[in-house]
Amino acid sequence: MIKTLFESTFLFACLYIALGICAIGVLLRIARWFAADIGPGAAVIPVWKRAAAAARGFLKTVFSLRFFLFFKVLVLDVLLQARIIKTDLSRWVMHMFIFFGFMLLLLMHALDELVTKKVFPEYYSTLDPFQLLRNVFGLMVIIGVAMAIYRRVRHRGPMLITRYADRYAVAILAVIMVSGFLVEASKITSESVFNRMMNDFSSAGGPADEDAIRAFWSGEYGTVFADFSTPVTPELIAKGKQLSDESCGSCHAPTKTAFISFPVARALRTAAWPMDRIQADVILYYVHVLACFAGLAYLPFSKFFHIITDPLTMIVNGMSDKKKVNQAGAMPRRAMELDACTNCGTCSRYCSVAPVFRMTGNETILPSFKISTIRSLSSGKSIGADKLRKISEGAFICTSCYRCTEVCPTGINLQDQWFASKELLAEKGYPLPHVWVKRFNASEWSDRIRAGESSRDRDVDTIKGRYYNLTADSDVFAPCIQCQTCTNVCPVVAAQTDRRDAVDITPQKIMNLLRLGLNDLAMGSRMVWDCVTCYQCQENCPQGIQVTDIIYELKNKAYGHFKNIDRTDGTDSKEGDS
Amino acid sequence: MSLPKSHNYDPQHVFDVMVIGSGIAGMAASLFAVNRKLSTVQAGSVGGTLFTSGLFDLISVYPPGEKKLWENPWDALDALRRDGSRHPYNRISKEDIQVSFDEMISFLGASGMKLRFDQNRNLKIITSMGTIKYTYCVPESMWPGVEAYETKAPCLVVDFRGLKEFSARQVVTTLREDWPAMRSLRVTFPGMAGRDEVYAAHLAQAMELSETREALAGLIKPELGDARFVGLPAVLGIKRTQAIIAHLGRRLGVPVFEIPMMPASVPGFRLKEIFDSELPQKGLLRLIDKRVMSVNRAENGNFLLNIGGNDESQVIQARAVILATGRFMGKGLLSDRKGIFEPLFNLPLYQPEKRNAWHHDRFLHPAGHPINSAGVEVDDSFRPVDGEGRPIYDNLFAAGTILAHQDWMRMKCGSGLAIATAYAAVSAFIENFKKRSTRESA
Repeated sequence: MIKTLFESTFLFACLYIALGICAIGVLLRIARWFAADIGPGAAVIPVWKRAAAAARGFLKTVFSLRFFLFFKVLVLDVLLQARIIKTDLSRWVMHMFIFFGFMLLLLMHALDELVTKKVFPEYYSTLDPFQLLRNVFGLMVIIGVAMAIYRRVRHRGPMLITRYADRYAVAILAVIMVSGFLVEASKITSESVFNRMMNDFSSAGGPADEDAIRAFWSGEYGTVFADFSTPVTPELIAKGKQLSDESCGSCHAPTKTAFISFPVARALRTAAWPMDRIQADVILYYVHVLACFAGLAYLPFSKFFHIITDPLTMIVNGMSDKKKVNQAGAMPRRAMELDACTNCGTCSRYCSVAPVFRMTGNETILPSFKISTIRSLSSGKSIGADKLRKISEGAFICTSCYRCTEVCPTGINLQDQWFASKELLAEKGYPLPHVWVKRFNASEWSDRIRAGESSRDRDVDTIKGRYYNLTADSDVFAPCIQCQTCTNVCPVVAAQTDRRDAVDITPQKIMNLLRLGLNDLAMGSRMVWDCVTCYQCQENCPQGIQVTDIIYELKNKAYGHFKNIDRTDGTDSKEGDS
Repeated sequence: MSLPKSHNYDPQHVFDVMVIGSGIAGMAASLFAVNRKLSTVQAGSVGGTLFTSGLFDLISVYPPGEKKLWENPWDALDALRRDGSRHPYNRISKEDIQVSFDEMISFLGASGMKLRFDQNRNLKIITSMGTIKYTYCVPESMWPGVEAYETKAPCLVVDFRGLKEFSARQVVTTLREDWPAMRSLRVTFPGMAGRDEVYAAHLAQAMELSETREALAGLIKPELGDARFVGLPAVLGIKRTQAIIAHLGRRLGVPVFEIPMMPASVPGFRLKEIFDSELPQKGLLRLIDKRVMSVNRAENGNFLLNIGGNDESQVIQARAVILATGRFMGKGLLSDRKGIFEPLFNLPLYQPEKRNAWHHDRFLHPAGHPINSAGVEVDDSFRPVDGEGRPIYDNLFAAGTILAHQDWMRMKCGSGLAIATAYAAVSAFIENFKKRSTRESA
């Protein structure tokens, strides 16, 4: 009646189709790593150069002492997942349960014909310890999935965003696991399965013996018989057990060792007979197997692709020197890393400028968001000016503190991703503010601020009103006597070498502009943007003026103004000035 | 006599003297106090010494209304005494003024800033404007300029492209008739080509490198001609000026001298460096950029001074205070619609009765304005006094430009006034208070 996988042409065809889709998908995605333009110079480095650089890097590593790092990464990072335990024990437990539960099920149960039978010739799926272990492994996955769902609900928010890919991953695992247990439970209760087995394998002599076995299976093994009227006595059961041991024992361990499926079967007892009528065990079996095939076929396009990309990323980044970045070889690596990101949110939790996100509401500050913006930037999709400006702001606020790279469980070189994306933004015309501020001189900026503000409410200043307003308090800068000490001690002024790039308005001139009420002129000066806040000017000011604090406040105010006003040079079309 | 650090914040620890102010007067008072083994603490801004030119005036103009210049400063002091002026100098003997100068000069000389003066003569020195200034004492780095002006020897004045505070051509043009053998030269400072503006302190830092000096000498040497002196703006290094000038002189084959510049100038930086680094080594507790916010008096007469900074406050207890807070720029004196006042002790001030009597009708009147002579009146022990001439506190002393009856800008007596009155205040503290007071010492 029911056919095993190898006997069903339909399932066999499905398996091959799924395998084929999976293989093509994996190849396509890997091929894309070499075509994706991520980072500076994308236009000038052809695909073959990227592939050659990657291959060269691979060979160089394989034939060097670094190769031994491979084993360390493999054991520590890939198998034991030490990078996860570094930041979050519960996430590690969750991931280990899912990973090892599923992998062991795959090897012992799904690939039993190929693996388990070769290793254990006496293997039979209903024998212990296999039946017990199958339930153990299944339980591990289910606990892991439950933890994942709890985690996603408990920590939902900008730091951990649950997207379609995450829902799909949890759902397909749940379907496979639940259907698996239901198949086992429905087989346990099924009378027709029992009858078929009796026909095929029983050596019982007559109806009395059969009744004894039935009584025993019904009482102890959970089979539900629709029509069983023989009075059950302890002697009958004892006889049944003896007969069962003789004829079934070689293939059947007590079903109670299926410690999940057996209670499920008991719970389903009242529905067992109707289920048996519609051959629920067969239907569930198809659901179970087809869900597995669907998961397999969809693997390269789902979150599960990370079981390929993450070990690769950990090995590549664990063995290569993160400080020396070869731009040609880095591009495929960056693309691979983008595929390796599982959106776990660890980077955002550790991001040192995450508080800025809470203040400004610009989520592109968070690393986990930045990864997805890099994905869309590199996909070549057109992105609106407003969005790009927001992305540029987020990228600008990053202080390159390296924490995200340190904690990433996948070992993605996030730092390098940010550097590359900043370059990419610059190429797209959205460089960091202290770069684009130099497009105009201070008086041009001041004109723009005035033009922009006549038609705009001054909300920027009211927001900043929460803080003490140094640049609006003349007592703060009025004592300046223009002695130039601040300029004389300024290392930024001293370090200027190129006239085109030079500081235009030096610190003491900024103080003078404030005294003249020309704050907008001061905001556009390069000094404000090049200031390294070393506090030399403030500490040396003979008049005790808070020079550095003033400059820092001007920078903040200027940013508040500039991000909203037209910063094109008039030749290209006006940016979205909404 | 260095203080244990725990005393810094212990209001129970009693210092001998607290100096308030960090200009020349405050620094001089601290120097004299630590030299006399007094436990001394000083508060003030980052440093008024930054605003000095590097020259030390004694007195060269008196009376200011006549703009009379004195070749010999001691003669000017005699005239001051003859006229019965209430100038603070008249409360100090000439010997004490000389001793106070000597002590300051020897301290600076030992700290790397050698000074030159003629006992009974004001020196004539050219300024960055090309004018001639009478002063008592100049840094060694400016001395060849004094000699060059005396002999009117052929001289090359060099300036740097982009240094806006100093123009060799202006110096030469202003002095054209007086000193025809002077020529000007403009060069691009080595390593700073292409800059629109260069800054004195940056040039001074660059001059500390021998490569810079070699390159600069290479630029000047071909233009030397018959010049027997080379004058440069006062940017010749901050820490090793003597060696730098000697090196340049060797490369050029003629003496090199510095011409003082507008404040805040590099010689001011040098002075600040010396005071900041040397005085604490002598035992001064220097509270940099800490101002005295308010003063209370303990029952035993000691002063309790609340020291405020940007982020913290502390209380210092001292047996005596020397007030050297300067005039309006140093915030030693403040003004409002009703008049001027002294904000810390609210001392009575000598000042014009009404606000409209502050100034002459002529802004540039050579005699200066009545407000310029306003300030704190003191007795012979330099203790501020009330209207009847009685000291207000027996342990409060004042020194420097906060004192009344002097117009240091017009009389050219700023440094001398600061140093001599600081000396007098410290001496008075020791002779008239510390030795006689029955109050318990710390």
